[in-house]
Amino acid sequence: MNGPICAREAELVAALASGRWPEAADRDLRDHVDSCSECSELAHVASSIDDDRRAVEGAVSLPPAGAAWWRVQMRMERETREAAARTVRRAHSAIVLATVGAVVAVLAMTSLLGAAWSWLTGALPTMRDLAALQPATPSVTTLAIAAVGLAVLTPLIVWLAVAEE
Amino acid sequence: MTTTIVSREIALLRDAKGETAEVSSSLMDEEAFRSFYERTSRGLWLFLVRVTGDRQLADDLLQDTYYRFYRAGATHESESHRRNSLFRIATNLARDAHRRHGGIVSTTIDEATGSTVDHGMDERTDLARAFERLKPRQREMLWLAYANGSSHEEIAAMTGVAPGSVKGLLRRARAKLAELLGNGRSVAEGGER
Repeated sequence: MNGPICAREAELVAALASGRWPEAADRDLRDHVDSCSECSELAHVASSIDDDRRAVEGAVSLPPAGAAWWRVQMRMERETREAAARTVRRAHSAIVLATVGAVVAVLAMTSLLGAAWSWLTGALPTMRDLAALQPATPSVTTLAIAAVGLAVLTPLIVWLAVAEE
Repeated sequence: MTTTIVSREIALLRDAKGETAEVSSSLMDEEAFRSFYERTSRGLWLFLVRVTGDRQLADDLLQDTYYRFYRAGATHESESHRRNSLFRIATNLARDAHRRHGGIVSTTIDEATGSTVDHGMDERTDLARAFERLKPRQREMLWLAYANGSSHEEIAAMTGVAPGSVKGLLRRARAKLAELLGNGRSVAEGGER
């Protein structure tokens, strides 16, 4: 099937496409097709496919355009709702994650600062007096750091969650 | 009203995904969609029936094709481009279905009776049987060329084949089909799958 392409193939294709083949085609072309295996094969295949198309076309039963439009719109609406629901679910997850992260951060910082304060007050005798004078200082500091951590971490976590989408 | 709301929501979603708002604004309106459907659905359905070998599957793919075409909201410079785009979507969907089913699915076994049920090819023509023995791409190209009357450039656009390869591939597909049509016994009882 790698032989040369017949020079009259285009002529035959045009006759087939216009519906002139075979009856209304030139006598000369018909004679050529009878003697050319390449064109004969083309005419045979193209005619078979066209005959089949006509046969199947008679049994076509398609939904009307209005129904097709309605189905497309319903599916668009459903997918839009599903996409919106997915976004809401991801936002909820991000908020929960941010809250958990903030709580863990506060607990960790409180614990670390408490340990550090104990070490400092134990290591430096002069600091113990200072602690006795200002007992509320560690918790205020802890809360301040935790608040700053919360303020920084929450938007960061939310941004990371949303950026994935 | 519903259409407007849906279009606006889609525009918002697409904006959120970083796509351009122009794409969503180019969604077809109802009149344009209906008109395009009227002009193309018959030819597309016939194409899908012969490429998949299953009318029920062709019905499903037809709907899916129009949905995806509409959702893409792409602008086309001409009717021909729009049509090529539609057939390209259908071709891809048919190939996906072929991969899922592992070939043409034209018959199944009825669970109740155990008998073979034809899915929709009411008249199993010689051509239908011969088509089953062809590769999906060969079926697509032959149908587009000789049933749709598509040019080689259009076939390339519709199937994703390089324009320069269409002629040779079509020629080989034609030879294969001629061989299958010329030997009804081998087509009916087995052959290349």
